[in-house]
Amino acid sequence: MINSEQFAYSQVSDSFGGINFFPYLPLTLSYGNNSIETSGLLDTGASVNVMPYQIGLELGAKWEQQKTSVQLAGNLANLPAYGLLVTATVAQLPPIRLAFAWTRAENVPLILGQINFFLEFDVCFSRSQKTFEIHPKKVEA
Amino acid sequence: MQINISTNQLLPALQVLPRADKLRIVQFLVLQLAQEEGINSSFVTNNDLDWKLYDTSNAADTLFNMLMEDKIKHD
Repeated sequence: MINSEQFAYSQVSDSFGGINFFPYLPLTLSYGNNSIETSGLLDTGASVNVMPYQIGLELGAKWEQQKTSVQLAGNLANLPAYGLLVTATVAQLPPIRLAFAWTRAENVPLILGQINFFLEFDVCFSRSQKTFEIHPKKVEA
Repeated sequence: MQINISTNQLLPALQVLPRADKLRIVQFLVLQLAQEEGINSSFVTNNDLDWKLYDTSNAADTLFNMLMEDKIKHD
C-alpha cells in the first residue's frame, strides 16, 4: 500500500508580476455523486479548511440547504459560511473525510488547514527543493 | 444610533484592549475610511492574503464536531 506521495510547489504569479512558489496539493473532492479535481493550498497557519463558494456549487452542494453555520475571521468574517463534509482523495492514498468551512467568498483559494487536513496527513515541506511530501497519519496500534 | 462617548473616554478604553482587538479596530477604521472615499477596500487591506484563519477556534470546534458526528454515523 502506498503510504506517501511527493509533490512539487506550484509557481504562482502575484498581482505585481512577481513569481512565488506555493504548496498547492492536487486532490479529488467528492460530494454525493459529484467529483471534481482541484488543488488546495496547504496552510499550516489556518485553523480550518476553507472552500470557496464556487467549488461547493461545482460539487453540487446547495447553499440554502446548509444548516451548520461557521464563523470565520479576518476578511471572511463578514461573509456567511457553513460546515460541509466531503470525501477527499490525494493521489493513490486512501480517501478521507474533510470538513470545510464553505464560505460565500469567491476570492480565496481552497485552503487545507489544521482541522482537519493536518489531523489526517503529516506533511514534510522541503521549500528549498520546492517539494513537499504527504503521509497519511499514523494510526496507533 | 446616538453615541454618547467622547474621544477622551474612548482612547483609554482602547489602550487596554488586547493587541488582536486593537488590530481589528485599525482594520475596521481603514475599511470604513476606504469605503467613505470610494477606494476598493481589498486593495487597501491586501484582501487576498488576509484571511486570518489562525484565529478561528470556534469554526474549528464546529467542524470537528461535524466530523465526530459523521464518524459515529458511519462506524
